[in-house]
Amino acid sequence: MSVKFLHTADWQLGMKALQAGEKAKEVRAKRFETGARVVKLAKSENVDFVLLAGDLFENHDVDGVVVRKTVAMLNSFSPIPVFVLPGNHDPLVAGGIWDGQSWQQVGDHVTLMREPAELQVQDGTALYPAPLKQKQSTLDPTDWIPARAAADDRIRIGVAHGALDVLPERGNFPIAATRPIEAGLDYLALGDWHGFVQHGKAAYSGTMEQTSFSEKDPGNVAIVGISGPGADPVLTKHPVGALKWTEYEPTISDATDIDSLRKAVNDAGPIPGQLLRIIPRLDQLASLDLLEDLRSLRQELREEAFFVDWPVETLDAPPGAPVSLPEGLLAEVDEDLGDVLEGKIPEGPGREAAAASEEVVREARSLLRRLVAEEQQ
Amino acid sequence: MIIERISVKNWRGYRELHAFQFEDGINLLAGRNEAGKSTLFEVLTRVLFDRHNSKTEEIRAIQPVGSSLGPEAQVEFQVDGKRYRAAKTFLQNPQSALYSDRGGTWELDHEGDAADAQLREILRGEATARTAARPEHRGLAQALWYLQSDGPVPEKSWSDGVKEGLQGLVELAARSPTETAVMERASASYREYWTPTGRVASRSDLGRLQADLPELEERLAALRDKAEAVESYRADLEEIQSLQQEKSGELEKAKAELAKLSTQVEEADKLEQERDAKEQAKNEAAQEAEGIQRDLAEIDERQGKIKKQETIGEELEGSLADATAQAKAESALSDLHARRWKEELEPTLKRLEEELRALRALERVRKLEKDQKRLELHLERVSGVETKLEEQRTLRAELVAPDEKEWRRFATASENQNVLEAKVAASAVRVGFEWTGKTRKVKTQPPVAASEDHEYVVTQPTEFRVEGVGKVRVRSGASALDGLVTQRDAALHEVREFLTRFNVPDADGMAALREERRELDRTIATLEGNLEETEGTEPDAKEELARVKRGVEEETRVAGTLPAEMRQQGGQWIRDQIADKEREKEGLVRDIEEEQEAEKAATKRHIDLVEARGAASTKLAEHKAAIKSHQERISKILESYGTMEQLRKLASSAEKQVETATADLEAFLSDYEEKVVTPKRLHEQAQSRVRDLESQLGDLRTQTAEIRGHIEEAADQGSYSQLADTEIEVDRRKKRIAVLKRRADGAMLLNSLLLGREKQRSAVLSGPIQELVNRWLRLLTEENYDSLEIDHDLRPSGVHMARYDAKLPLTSLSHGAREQVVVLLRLGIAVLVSKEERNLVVIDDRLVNADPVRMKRLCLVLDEAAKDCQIVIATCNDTPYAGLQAHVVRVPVDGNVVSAEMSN
Repeated sequence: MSVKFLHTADWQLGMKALQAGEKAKEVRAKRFETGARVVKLAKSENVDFVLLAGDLFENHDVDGVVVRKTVAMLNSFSPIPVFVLPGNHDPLVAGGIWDGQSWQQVGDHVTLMREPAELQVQDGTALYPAPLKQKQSTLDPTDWIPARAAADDRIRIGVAHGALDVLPERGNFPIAATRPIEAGLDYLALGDWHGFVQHGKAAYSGTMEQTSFSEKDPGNVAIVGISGPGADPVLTKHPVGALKWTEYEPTISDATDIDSLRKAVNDAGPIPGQLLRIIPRLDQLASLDLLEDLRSLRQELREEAFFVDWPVETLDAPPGAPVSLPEGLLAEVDEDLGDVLEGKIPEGPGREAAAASEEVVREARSLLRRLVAEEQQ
Repeated sequence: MIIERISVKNWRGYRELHAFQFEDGINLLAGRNEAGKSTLFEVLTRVLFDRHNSKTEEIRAIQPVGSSLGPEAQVEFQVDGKRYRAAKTFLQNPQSALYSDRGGTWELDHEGDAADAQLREILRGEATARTAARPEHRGLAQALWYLQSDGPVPEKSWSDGVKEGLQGLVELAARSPTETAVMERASASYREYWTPTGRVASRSDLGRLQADLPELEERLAALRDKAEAVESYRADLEEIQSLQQEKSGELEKAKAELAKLSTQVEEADKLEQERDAKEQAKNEAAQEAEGIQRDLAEIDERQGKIKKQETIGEELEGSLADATAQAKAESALSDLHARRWKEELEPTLKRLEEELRALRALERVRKLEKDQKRLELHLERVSGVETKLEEQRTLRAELVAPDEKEWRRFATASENQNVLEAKVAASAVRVGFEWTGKTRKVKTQPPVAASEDHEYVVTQPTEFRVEGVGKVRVRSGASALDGLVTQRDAALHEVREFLTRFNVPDADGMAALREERRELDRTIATLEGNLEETEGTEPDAKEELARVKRGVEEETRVAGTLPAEMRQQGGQWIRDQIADKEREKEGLVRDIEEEQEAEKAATKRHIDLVEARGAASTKLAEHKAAIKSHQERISKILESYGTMEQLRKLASSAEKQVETATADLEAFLSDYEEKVVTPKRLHEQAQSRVRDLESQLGDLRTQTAEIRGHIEEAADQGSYSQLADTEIEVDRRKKRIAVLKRRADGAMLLNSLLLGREKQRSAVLSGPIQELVNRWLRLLTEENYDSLEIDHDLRPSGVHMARYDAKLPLTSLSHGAREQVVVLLRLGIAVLVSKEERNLVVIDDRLVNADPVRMKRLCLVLDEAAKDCQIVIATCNDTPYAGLQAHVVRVPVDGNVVSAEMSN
């Protein structure tokens, strides 16, 4: 007997999406659209069941409407069975979502795996879920999974949410990477890591829609095929995510740097689907023309991309920008500000600048140079 | 440049030629209001700086009212050691000429526009296009001449002429266009964020963001509180669930325990029933025995009572007999006493009282007879007086005499008559005859009697017939005499009437009659008095006499019972008899009373005894009834038992049965506690525990439902997404605020540095002027203000108050103080630019608001400035300037030239 199922996790519906600024609402809505695509994929792939390995919801406090929409979406999987594992974002706690009225409307084909106990999915296939009952722990939730009995010829699939101990800097709900071998599992469907990663018979499908700027290879689900007990699982990664979040910190010395930045953004994918965080580092001697080009690029991207987080102050003229200041009062003030930036205390009225913070002094100097430059134009 | 002479003609009030000389030093242009002082200054400025062919409104205004003649004027002045004369005529045949003094002769240098231009050149003025010359066209004079029509300082900056004049001494470096533009834009950038007082401008983006942020943060805090509240609910729910589990476990245990105890309780119930049965048997036996004992006891008791009552009954019978006998004896005694006083003593008393009544009546008769006598005598006396009185009244009635009223009238009439007689006599004409020779007979008609003196008193026209002589007619006195005579006659008539009425001849007769009547009146009054007095002693004497007589009759009848010899006895005997009888009566009364008392006492004792007997009889009956009742009861009781003996036997048997039942029950109850009481108690406790736990679980379920409801409610409110959106918004705004704040601070710093640098430059540049002006300012204000703040354009902006180390803007000073400050500044500029050549300073009546003390100090300043400058001061009052060494020019008087033409 063989089995084919869809493995996904970390949908985190109702997430705040703080990094998306004013687009946060739209980002939240996109996740439901992606969820709908997953449903479509599951049906088109004709899977036997769907495993949702934790963090279906961002938080137990998500709005009621989010829960209702999620329930409706899970119900749309019908008749494909769906097995939902409580993760560290939505653990089994008193008064949580799983106890709410809205969740009770979920269809019979959806099973919330509440207990660490064997679940017979279909003939010849058993699930070993490790539901989480709290947000943090240093204990391995898969510890309870019994080893395969000698006569057990079923396909045994573990479902857990935590950090494989081979992953860097992860301590919450550590999971032994050797669990599949120790427990005689044919597959360990994992959630918590948002990128697609496979380690032997354990795999993270990753989040179906990217959730922040720092994720690698998110936006996928896995279609898993296991031909029989003991066989290696065959994973197929299916991208389903609509948005791509990327951050850039380019050093801009000249126009080619701007071009490179533009190209990088274009190469990353369709710009309307991109969330961009760009913090350019301007060369001290960057000219005003260069600044102007950079401003243009920023304007372009703000018009085209889904969301751009590019602080406008990064486009202020650097203090070292070459400006011809006429002799007299203006040059004297510029010199005073320059002295302060070098750590000196100017004489006379310029002494006042020494009490100001460095960024205020830079700002004053930038303003002066900008005004002079504009006047000279 | 200094001026020497101004001449003017056809100019406003100066219709005739006027020429005014000025000296070097201080010139006081003194004159009344509208004397023409300011006009002279106008002449100065128009001649020196206006185009001769100008036809502006201001130029037209200098023409005298109603005149069409062209105003003309000349100004002689010195510049750079050279003397010039500028002569202009405006409007009518306009002309302009500029002369120079060469060796004492005025030589024409330029005419027309050239003259105008040369003048401007010499004086560093500026050409005007179509307007009249304004202060900024006057070159250095803009600063040095402070005319009535000028503002205190120029709005923007001094003219180039002033700056040029100051060049080399005070270097005013103007800002470059770039500096000006950048500084303006820096200032604009500053104003984008800040108010002039250094606060964030509320209408700026920064201000608005800062203003809105607290509210947003508040909202965020509220949403976070809500989230925390939900978290708290979940925590509570967890606790409740944990408790629920614990309580459920306890409930299970409690139910198991209860089940176990239920079996024991069933057994216990059975034993309880058996106990009840044995108890009942025992009780019934005890009840029966008790009943028998009770009956037995009752019988014994009753029998005892019967004995007692029989004893009491015997005693009562004895008492009854005694009481009856005594009552009879007392009744007899009472009758005895009654007979004694009724039949013996009372009749005697009655007889005695009759005797006493008769004796008293006799005594009263005696008394009444005395009264009768007295009254009769009294009535006799009264009658006598009445008779006398009647006689006197009759006499008076018969007497015809005047009463007092009539007498008074008579007396008055008599007196009147006498008076009138006297008056008449006094008024009458007296005619007397003195015969020489023989005495003649005189007859009068009407007749008049002659007096003893042979005088005739004539009171009316009287004819005297003198024998042998003839007639002499004498008219009497005036009408007054006639009047008197008439009155006298009237009085006489009245008197005679009285005399006639009372039939007396004269007044004496009247008097006698009066006296007689008076005597009778006195006698009658005396008798009336006596009668009243007499009657008063016995008022109602007649009625009293009648009553006494009736009394005598009545009492005599009562006393008639006495024997005749007794009735003859006198009063003393009667009184003695009465006394004896009284004493006897007293004795009898005492005896009767005693007997009555005795009777009463005996009767009372009798009654008491009868009552006592009655009570004893009743009591005896009661006792007998009680005995009967006891006997009947005893019989009734014995009906159930037979005889007493049988009853006693039955009682003994019942006792034994009770003992047996009790022993049986006690044996049964020896392990009752263990088998029944304890299991039941434990069962009840277990039941209570189960109920308690079920109730607790019910409460927990209710709480759980409630909390779940709150959590669902919070979820339905969409707080989570609101929280997220609010966090995003707050974060966004804070970042924006940080950016704007940095920009605002940068703009503020830049603006401050630029202004600071400029101020420093201004201070350096304007140092010399400031030094001089500050010294004067300290002198003028007694060190109250120690420096004048001057901007980079050499315009005053404020003063520094030394005491408070604070700057006061110029607008804070009074108008007078501001004028004084401006004068000081202009004088300061004048002194500085006059180092090499004296310059004219004009002060057109600008110090009118200075008080005497200030004025004195201003004079010191003017004196000092006059060392370097020529000063012309216009004033309406030259007294405040008395301390100055000044050349006084009276306007217009001192300029009044009767017949002179403008100099050529």
